[in-house]
Amino acid sequence: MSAKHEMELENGASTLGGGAKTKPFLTADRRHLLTDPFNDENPITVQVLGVCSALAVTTQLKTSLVMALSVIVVLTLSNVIISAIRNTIPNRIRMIVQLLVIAGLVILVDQLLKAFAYEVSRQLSVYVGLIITNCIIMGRLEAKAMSSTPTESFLDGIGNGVGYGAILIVVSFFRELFGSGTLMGIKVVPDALYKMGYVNNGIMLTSAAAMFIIGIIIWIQRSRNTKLIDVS
Amino acid sequence: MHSNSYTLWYAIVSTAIVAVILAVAASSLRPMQERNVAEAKRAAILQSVMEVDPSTLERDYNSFISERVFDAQGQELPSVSAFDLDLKKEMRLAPQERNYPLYLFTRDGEVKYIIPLQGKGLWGPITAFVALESDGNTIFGVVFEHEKETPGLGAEINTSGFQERFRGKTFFGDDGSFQSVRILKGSGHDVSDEAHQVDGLTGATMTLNGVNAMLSDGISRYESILSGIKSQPR
Repeated sequence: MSAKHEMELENGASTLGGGAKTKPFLTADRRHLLTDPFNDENPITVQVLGVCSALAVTTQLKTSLVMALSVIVVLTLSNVIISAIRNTIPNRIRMIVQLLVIAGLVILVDQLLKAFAYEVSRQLSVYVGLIITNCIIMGRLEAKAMSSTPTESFLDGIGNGVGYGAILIVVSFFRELFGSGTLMGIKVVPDALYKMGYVNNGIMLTSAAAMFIIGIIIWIQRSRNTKLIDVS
Repeated sequence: MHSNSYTLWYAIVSTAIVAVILAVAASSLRPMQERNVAEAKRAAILQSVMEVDPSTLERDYNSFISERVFDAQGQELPSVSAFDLDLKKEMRLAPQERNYPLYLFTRDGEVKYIIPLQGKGLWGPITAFVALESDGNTIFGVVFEHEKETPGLGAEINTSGFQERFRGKTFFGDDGSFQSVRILKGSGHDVSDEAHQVDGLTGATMTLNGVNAMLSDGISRYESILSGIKSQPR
């Protein structure tokens, strides 16, 4: 599935780059910022960042989508903001400044959701704290935004946000399908199957199931991409 | 290396900027947020007695529901708005000082009494709207809401599958004494012959203990209000 995503992204990238006349906007290096998080640099399966939130929000496809979207928005914006002011930030308090930007953005997103998407915000209320403490955001700010231009940080933010979201969506697809028999809240497992004795799998609703699914994803990814395997 | 005073000023100014942005956002969005909260409450009240259609919610609510508030002795308090009462604040008062809101649902000459309740789940507050038939005893429908119960376990209290189990159960015994309605521990009990018992949820015992306490404590205080309003000529 990551290969397919990559192709889609690259198609999108080429049309984007075609607009610029002198130098293409998306050079090979910059394109890698967008595509690597799907494969060699996936935040969850390779960088092992943001796993806690991936366990917590993935019982339903809908909450995962909203969580993914929120993280993409917050990660991209905080990446750009931190990168823009990176030369002014005093080194000794850089973590505090990063946290300030993240927390400010998260509260802003939460307030906007409460005003314009109340149902979603009610479901997400528990998870708002998870965005603030999401290690992906802090991790990318430290690793990328503090040392790169805003444009590169912007692409890095989108790439990592989408790479994170892709894992969330795969995990929640299986958890919602087998745990509740629904997808996006719509019943997909037919009643006839329940009459024949099929039951929803309760363990899929617990965080342990997400751990298993993420483990399987990591397994598949590393068996196909041997350079990710730790030899130590 | 930046100087100490630069670092200090940087911290102060950046914090101030973020604080101002958040304050502006919070105060300008508040009217919309409050409208959303009120709408969700109206939907929950109506949901205890009928299917809720978001597009006609406002009209249905205004035409079918009338709001009343009583004191602990069963006297009606016409000046208090039931909808705006904050039950969390009321619960902090002594029982005889609380205001008791009641919603009357009237359609086609049939009356149902909707009692709002506030209680504690395992992780946070839970609320309920209990709709009683016109006898003020038999449950017509319930709506439970929670803020942070565990998904898949305690959070199941706001699924329709669980809430439907309450229909037809009664709070008062044949002799008129208050019996409450109790959710049993674990699931799979056959309670079709039990008027005061409801089948429970495995893994949600702590949450359901909170629901039981909320129901027995809350509904019992409405005993005099219900008997008063039933004897009222309409």
